Formats: sequence, structure tokens, C-alpha cells
Amino acid sequence: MFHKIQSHLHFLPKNWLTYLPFGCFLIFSLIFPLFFKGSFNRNVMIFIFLYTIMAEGWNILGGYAGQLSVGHVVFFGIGGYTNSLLLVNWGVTPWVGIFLGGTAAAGISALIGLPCFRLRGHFFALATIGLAEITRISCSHWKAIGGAIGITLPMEFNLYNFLWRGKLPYYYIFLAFTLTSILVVFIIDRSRMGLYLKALNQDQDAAESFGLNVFKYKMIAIVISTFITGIAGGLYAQYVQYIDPQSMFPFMISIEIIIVVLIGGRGTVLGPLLGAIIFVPLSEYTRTYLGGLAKGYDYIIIGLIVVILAIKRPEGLVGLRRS
Amino acid sequence: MPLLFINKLYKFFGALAAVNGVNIEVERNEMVGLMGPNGSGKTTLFNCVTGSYTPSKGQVFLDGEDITALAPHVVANKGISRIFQITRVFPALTVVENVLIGQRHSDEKFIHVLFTKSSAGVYERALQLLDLVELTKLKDKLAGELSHGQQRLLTLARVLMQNPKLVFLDEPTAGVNPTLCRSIVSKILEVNRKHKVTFFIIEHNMNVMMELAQRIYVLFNGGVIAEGAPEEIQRNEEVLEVYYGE
Repeated sequence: MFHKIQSHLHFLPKNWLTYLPFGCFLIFSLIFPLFFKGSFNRNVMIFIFLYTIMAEGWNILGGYAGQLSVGHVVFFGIGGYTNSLLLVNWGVTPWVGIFLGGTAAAGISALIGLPCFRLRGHFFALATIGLAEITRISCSHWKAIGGAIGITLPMEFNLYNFLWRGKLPYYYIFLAFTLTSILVVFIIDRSRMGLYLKALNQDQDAAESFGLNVFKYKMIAIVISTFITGIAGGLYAQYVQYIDPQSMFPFMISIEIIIVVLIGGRGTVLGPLLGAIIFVPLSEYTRTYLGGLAKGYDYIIIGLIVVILAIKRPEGLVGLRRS
Repeated sequence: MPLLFINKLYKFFGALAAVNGVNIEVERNEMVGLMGPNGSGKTTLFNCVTGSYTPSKGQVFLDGEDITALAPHVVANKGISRIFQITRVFPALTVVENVLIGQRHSDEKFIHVLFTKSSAGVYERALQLLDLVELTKLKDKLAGELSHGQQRLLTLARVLMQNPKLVFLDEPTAGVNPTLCRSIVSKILEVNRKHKVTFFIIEHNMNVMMELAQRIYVLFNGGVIAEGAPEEIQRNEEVLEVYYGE
């Protein structure tokens, strides 16, 4: 029996050190609310979870498959808007709406990928920037979805509406989604899919000459990636309980997702988590404690970190463990 | 029926005919050479056959099946593998992972690709091929850390992983030292004899070409100017004129 189970799990790494950082993160996250009862610190953790989900999603496309999406926020926004509109207009529970939001984001991304992935170069990156801006401006003027005013979720706090007064339920739900996103990337990383994505990232022509349908794998990567990002958008909408185009489609979120992955290490399972653990607290605490002096301290510090990493450890913090 | 039949193939770039009405036949288990000065259209012809370029006119048949203008991955899955002029390994993958990329993809199910690694049988075959090119000890090393010659051998193992009917070799010994050049030549001959793999080879090194090829086509200005056994090609006046201006 044991051998049978083991044969099905042969893709799991045998080195227990691989699991150590994830185990530490899980234990720390589970007990964190016991010691930190204040909403600020819990909020920071929730944003670490949110950025990990988004970064793991981006990582599949940008890290593994090497397709640079510079407007990934659009899929975050589509997920958030779809979920909120379904709840407000048709009373669809976010337990379903969040996944429908992810599906909508994946569907739109497939429409972008269909023409762009047949081209070479940076057409896809340019297309994602264009799409993000067009969507943000369109949503600002589209009255049926709230226009520039946005959408306020109904203030009926209950399980069906996925709305609570305190942060604790969100904390553990976000944690569960974070672990799931890590698991998805872990499975991809350890499977043939991960191998093929890494190959097409490194040399598309060579991968194609070995019979790999490069277009198909790019499409699969974008659909999985944006589905996860769309789910993150839905979770965020439920957490803040109010969305508008400025909060759901800001260009900076796209950049921040990329920075998180670059800090941690792209094309790795652990990288996005590490990046989020560094980026979010740094951003939140500098904004809180130095925000009174002037704007942008967080970006100066993060910019410095990115520059130092680019020079010393271009593969990200994960490279420290490898070295 | 020849294994590969190229029928009146043309490739135009604007007014320039890079491939100009080429007719070529390659029989099973044969070693056929393709020669010509720089810019004569050899690599463009390879690109047209393997699907990297869409031919302007003409047809390509593999085993009697029309494969003209099919996508590169479809051509590869039909049985044509290719080793590029510039060595192209996946530098951040290990040596054995590089070989595993060459496994057959046409019958892979998505669900298996997503949830499983390569089967034990496929992995075993990858190790056998690494053994053939004497890279077994380096199987867990990153391919980018290998020497140029070792990378050349790795690409050979990788194409064999596909169980190809026909392998296109674009200058297999370019940039390697004489010792390794001998090793590569002997491996290619061994694969041809033992594994019954057909080769279509571009090579500038005349000694290597004479040793490998049973028949040679010579291209000039996109068209075939000579075809024959290596000894005949060496004496062909038109070929000598093209190469030496005699």
C-alpha cells in the first residue's frame, strides 16, 4: 500500500529541506493571529497572502513560460469586478463568484493570448499594457458597472456573502488560497508541464523543433496564471468591500507583482512567497512610519533592493539557498 | 518511395530567391550531405522543410506524406529532428532534462503532462542515450555549464530521444576541437548504422563530409548545381569553380 502511494507521488522532492521554508511559513501563519491581535499586523499578513497569490499566478506565465505580462492587474480587476457584480446584481455568493471571476479573467486572457502568442518578441507585453489601460478607462466611464464611483458590496455580514466584520475569517481564507496557489505552482514545477514551460522560456525555436506545441503551452500557462490572479481580485474585492477602477486597475499593481517575483526568484515555487514576505511589510511599514515625511519611501527602498539583487543575485533570493 | 522528397521548392524574400526550385531525394538509412558556399540557401532550405519558414512554392514529402508548411512542432512529431548550426541547449535545465525534452509529444495527454513527470521507461531511455554520447556522469549538471563540444553531443542525444526518421544536422562539427570532431563523427556513423537513423547534413569541413556522406547535393544561389557521390563532387568542375573560382 505504502509503495503504491509512493509510486504515485514520485514527483515529490525527497530532500526534506525543500519543504522546510513552506512548513515554517505555514506554522508561523497559523499561529500568527494568536500573538498579533491588532488589525494592522493582520492586515499586513493578509496582503502578504494576497501578493503571494498574485505573484504565484504571474510566475507561471512570466517566470516559467517567460511571457512578460506587464498589465497583469487587468486580470485582477476582471476577477474583482465579476465577483462583485454577480453578488450585487444577482446575489451570487462569492464562494462561487470568486471562481467565476477567475474564469472570466482566464477567458479574456485567452482572447489576448490567441493573437499575441503567435507573434515573437514583446508584442504580448505591449498588448497587456494596452489592455490594462483600456479596461481601466472603459470601467471608469461604464455606468452599468458603477463607472468611476465603483461598486459597494452589501453590508450584510454573513457566510453566504463572504463578508465579516473582523479580519480573522479573511486571514484564514486568504491563507488557504495562498497555500492552494503555492500547491498549483509546485505541481507545475515538478511535472512535465513545468519542464516544457522552462524549455520554451529558454529557447522557443529549439523547444518547437523537438515537437513541443509552444503556442498550446503558452495558452495553458496564461489561462492558469490569470485564473489565479482573477481569484485574487475577487478575494480583494470581498476584503475591502468596495471597488472602483482606481483600486482594481492601477498600473502599479502590475509592476509590484513583477517586483515581488523578481525579489524572490522567478520560475521557482518559493520565490513569490519570499518576495511577498519582504515586499509587503517593507511597503506597509515604511508607508506607515515614514509616510508623514514624504511619499514614495517604500519605492526608494524596494528600488534599491531590486538593483542590488539584479547585480548580486539576478535569480532572486532563492539563489542564496542554491549557492 | 524516398524518405524525404523535396519537389521544386522555392523560397522568396522579396525579389531574392533564397531557395530556387530545389529537388532533393533522401532514401532510408542514407547519409546525404548538403554543401554550398555561405549564402547559398542551405539553412533556408532546412528552415523550409522543418516548418520554420513557409515555402513560397513547391512541396515537401516525408514518407509519402505532404508536410509542406506544417508548423515546426508538427513536422518534428512526424519524425524530422534538427540540430541547429548554433548549439542550442536549454542552459538552465540539467543534462538529463534536456534529453527528456526530446521525448515524443504527439501522444501526450494534457492531464498527464500537468500531473506527472516522465515515465520510468522514458527516463531510462534518456540515460541510455546519455551513455551513448558519454555524458552519463554529467546528467545532473546544468547544460549551460558543459563545454561547447559536450553541448554538441547533448544535442545529438536529445534528437535521438525523439526516435526520428530523419535528422537534419546543420554543421555538427562547427567550432569543436579535432578530437571531439572525431568523436562526433563516429557517434553519427554509429547512430546511422546501429539505430538506422537517416541523416541530412550541412557541413563545411570537407574531410568530415567525405567521411559521413554517401551522396552530396551542392547548392549555389539557391539552386542545386551538382549531385553525386563525394568523389564525384570533389572532381566536379562547376563545384570547384563555385568554391575556388577555378
